[in-house]
Amino acid sequence: MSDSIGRTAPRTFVNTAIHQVPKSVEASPKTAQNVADALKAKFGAETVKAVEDQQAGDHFVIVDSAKISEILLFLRDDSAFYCSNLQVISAVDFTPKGENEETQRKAFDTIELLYALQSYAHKHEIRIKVRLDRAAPRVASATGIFRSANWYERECYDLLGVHFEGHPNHKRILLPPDWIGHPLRKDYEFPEEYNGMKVPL
Amino acid sequence: MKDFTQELNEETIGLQTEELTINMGPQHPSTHGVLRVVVKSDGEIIRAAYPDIGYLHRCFEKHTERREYIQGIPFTSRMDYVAAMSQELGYVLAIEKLLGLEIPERAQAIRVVISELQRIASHLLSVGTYGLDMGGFTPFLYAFRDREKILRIFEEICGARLLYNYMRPGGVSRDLTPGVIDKIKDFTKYFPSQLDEMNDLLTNNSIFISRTAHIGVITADQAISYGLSGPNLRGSGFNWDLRKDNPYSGYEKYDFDVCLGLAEKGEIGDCWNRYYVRVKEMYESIKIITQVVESLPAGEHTAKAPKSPKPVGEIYMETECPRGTLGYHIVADGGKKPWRVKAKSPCFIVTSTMDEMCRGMMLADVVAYLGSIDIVLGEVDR
Repeated sequence: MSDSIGRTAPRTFVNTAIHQVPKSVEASPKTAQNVADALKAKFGAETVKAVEDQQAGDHFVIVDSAKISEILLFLRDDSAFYCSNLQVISAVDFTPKGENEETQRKAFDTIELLYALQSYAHKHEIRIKVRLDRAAPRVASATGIFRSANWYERECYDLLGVHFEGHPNHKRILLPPDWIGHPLRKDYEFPEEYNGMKVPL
Repeated sequence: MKDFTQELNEETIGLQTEELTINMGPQHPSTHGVLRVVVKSDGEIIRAAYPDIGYLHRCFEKHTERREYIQGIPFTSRMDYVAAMSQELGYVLAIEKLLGLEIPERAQAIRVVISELQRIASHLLSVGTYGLDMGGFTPFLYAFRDREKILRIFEEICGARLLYNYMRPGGVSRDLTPGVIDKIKDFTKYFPSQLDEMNDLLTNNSIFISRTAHIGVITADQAISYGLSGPNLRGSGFNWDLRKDNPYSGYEKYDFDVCLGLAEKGEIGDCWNRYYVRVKEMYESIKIITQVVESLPAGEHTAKAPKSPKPVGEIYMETECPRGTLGYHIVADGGKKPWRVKAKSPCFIVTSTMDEMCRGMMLADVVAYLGSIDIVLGEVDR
């Protein structure tokens, strides 16, 4: 079942016995390297840009932004992953110069989008990232795959100015419609006034 | 004899009234804050409901970028101001994971007690105001009376009633005194009977049931696709609780059940079942608190943590708050200040279900739906 733009009905594991915990599938936690290998086998070697191992915290798979829709759909529906829950879409702005002068992190002129996915069946969490051009960040919308993507993407547009192609309602969500600029950009300049009202800092 | 009602129905089929656009909020008692909903109605039937949020937007994410990690804690408690302890806990747990700190057992146990007490306080507010929305004034007063007892305990622990600033990376800011532990023990003995009374007053009240049962049904499929969590997901019958499925802070040591919507009244996923999951969770929280305070480990209430932590790394971590799973995405670059902090709020995403769920509903049921998903606008807008 899919309509003209490839939107399929979201699937879950609890259609018949709704009170049963969906633990019928054997839990098989996936590492970032497993995910990267599976994506390479499915979509070609150039799909996976890097596997980022942080010193502490999570591990991230950085993928080609042009193929993000296919990848999310694959991770949602493939039986090895079954990532039925999109936990969050979070955008981070990396500029060459920031406020944190003592930064150890390599600065690069880019906006990173994090897709945090979670599987109820396998109990694993997968972190997919795409890197977008900071001057004109554009990526395909995930609203056809997860309903929750709708508002997360609107928030990313509102606060960081990322454009999601194919989003049904691409508008600001938290800020007023006539606000200028995207506040979570690192080079954002605070307005002195808004509609005649002084903005306190 | 002629069936008059049938004749009337046949005549009125296809009859429509003029579509009316109604503005609900931002200052409306039933919206639990400053939420504006633009409702398009055809007579009493809702054709569309567009939630308009952002009235309480303070962009705490930008504020934290300009401050040290520890200075971000008061901002997190101002997101969901009726469950501030749980919000702080998620933030400090993420920082601790980046720092690789080991937390003393006593600190972990204190955190469990505190966040379960907070869950009860938050659910009491939710249940009480839901009764108020549905026309029952008495349960509201009973719920606030008992919530006040918890707030008194919190006041004694950390000096504040609502916005605590109590959690720290490494533990908690102050130890529990023996007097407070006795008060918590008294509360666990006192509270279950009050909850039984609440069931008599509200849960099994036939007016309340007819206002909430079979209204606003979210199926498990829809709930998962919308990324719902907490009582909203479990009310749809889906068994997922991070305290069981991905335990943190030592929750795996305690014995409790995950409460699901089981359609004792109405059907799975409706407003009544979401409400009743919260009531059942309060019993389970009491169970957890009793177990912890009976065997509260001795030791330090905080680990030796740097006063101004400088973690390196990136993390996205979720915890089970009263309203669902709250996640923090922290990008730490080794500086004193975080490069980016983002909070995933469960209330934000459940508000986005309104448009789909309210279509075809009666106008008065919007209030029933809004109360049952239990949103706090401070957390929606952040």
